[in-house]
Amino acid sequence: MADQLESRRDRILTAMIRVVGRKGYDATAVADVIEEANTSRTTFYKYFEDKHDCFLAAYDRMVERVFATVVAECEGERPWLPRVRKGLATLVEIFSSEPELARTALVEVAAAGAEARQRHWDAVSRLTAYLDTGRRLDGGEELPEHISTMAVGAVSGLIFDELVAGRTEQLPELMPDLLFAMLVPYIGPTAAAEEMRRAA
Amino acid sequence: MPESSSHDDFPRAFEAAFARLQVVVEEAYVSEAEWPDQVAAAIRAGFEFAASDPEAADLLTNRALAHGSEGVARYQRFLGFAAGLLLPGRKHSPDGELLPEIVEQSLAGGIVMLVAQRVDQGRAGELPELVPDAIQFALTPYLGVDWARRVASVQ
Repeated sequence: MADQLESRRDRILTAMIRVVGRKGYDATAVADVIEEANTSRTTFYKYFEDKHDCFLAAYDRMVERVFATVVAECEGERPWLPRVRKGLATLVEIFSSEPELARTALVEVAAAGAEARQRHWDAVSRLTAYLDTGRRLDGGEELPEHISTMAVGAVSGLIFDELVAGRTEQLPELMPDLLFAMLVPYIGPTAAAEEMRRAA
Repeated sequence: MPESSSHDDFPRAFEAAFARLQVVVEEAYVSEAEWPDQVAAAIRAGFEFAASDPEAADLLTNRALAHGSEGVARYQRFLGFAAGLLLPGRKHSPDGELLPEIVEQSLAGGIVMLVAQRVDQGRAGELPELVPDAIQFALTPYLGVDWARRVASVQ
């Protein structure tokens, strides 16, 4: 019974991510989410106070799933550079194969209010820290923390541009450019351009 | 809860904030002779603008992104302005021909995201301390890590 209840809640959370990615946060109504999840209004309000409460829970779950996938894919990639390559490729794969999730994660979150944006900032910080870990294991000189954050912001911004232009499925083609943007603050333009060439 | 906002007021408020930012950034940029120093001055002016008027910085970033496709278009115009200040760096770069087309847009996006984050978290007052990091970040693709760090360190 507990599993069944959990699965109903999960279905609603998944539906929220999909509908918001498709319609936009402002245009999404609880009724849309209920229909997408094939559940009832009573069930929705059993778990959530309102649309916003549900969105925050859905966003948290989405971040955990994406982060767990990146970590799982990078497991065994101890050196910093392969870890960054693999982590970035995994993110791009997730976003390009799930366009609604990508739009919710990077575009629509801005419309969902301060609490939602704080979750986005937390996710950025967490990803930055994870990618930086390999750099320290390599024994390389550490860049100031804020430069790592800006590198993640650079990549995030480029992906954002593709999403709003409706080119989500073409994201993998952008991978060489994304890799350059991520790496250049750490290793400089010549080495980053070489990595970009290899990824092309 | 999501912030309430007037969609009618947003365009005018955004354009007013953008115009004020452009004035202070362009004045700082042209006050220096060499391009790396011009970029450094522009970044300092932009960060000080955001620290002294976080409401305007919020309009240009977080609130713009919350205003649907129209807000996103304005935000992208703002990024385009910032990216345009970096473009001359290609002529100063020994690796200019290696740089992908997306460099300026990505740099502008990374720097503006840092500002948006600090403003959104009520920490805009910290931005002037982050100026050297932002300068290093902006110059590295053109000048390399060591040269960019040297320029940033004297700011």
